[in-house]
Amino acid sequence: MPSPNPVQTFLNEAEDLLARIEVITLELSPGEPAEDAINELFRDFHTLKGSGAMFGFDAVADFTHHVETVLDQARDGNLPLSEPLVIQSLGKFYRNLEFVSGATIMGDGRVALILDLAGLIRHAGTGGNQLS
Amino acid sequence: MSKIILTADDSASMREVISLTLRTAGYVVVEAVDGRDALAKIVASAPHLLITDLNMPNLDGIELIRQVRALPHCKYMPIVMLTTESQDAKKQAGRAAGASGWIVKPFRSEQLVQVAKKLLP
Repeated sequence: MPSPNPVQTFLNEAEDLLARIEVITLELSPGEPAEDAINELFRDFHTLKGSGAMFGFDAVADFTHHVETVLDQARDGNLPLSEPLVIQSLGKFYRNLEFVSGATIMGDGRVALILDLAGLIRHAGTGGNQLS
Repeated sequence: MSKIILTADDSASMREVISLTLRTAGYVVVEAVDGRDALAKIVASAPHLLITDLNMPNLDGIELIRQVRALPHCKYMPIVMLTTESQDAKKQAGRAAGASGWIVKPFRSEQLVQVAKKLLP
């Protein structure tokens, strides 16, 4: 029986989570209730944050923390966009093929995830400004 | 006889590192993938300690703690919740639900073993 390797398990898990995040994000439609989706996204990003920090992926944990903050505000309705900020900005993010192709943690995982989440946050910020 | 620890976490890598650490320290570890799974396994495996994540699908950690505490034979079982630094409100909710204490992620293996030894003398 191969001995367990939690770091490798995390990398596989992160790939699955990113795939899920992508699917949930692509299914979001402006104007439709997004509460469940936002909760799911929050949980997935929270897992990336907690487990990422656990295995020394500090940059991943830092960035996912920012994403969480945005999702949290959206969930609490503190952002006027409870849908628009997150949905539109995530939608914009995922329409960018360059970012999508980077949305995997396999290979040089750290760099790929950092770039993607930085892009996500940047787009989230832009979306917020556009709405106000 | 080895003490039994039930760990509930939806993150496979977290379950793996917790199990590996505690098994190496001599404990028997039962893994649950979410709160609902943990609730079923708590009856079947009769653990001496529960270590639970808070954000989980189906049944989250807070609700799991609340329901476990309502079980007569688990009234005094130690329950440790795994939190992140940003989860202060959840930590309070967990304590109110009956958690004995918490460990903040990321933690080192030695910390986890220390907590287990302290709660399972």
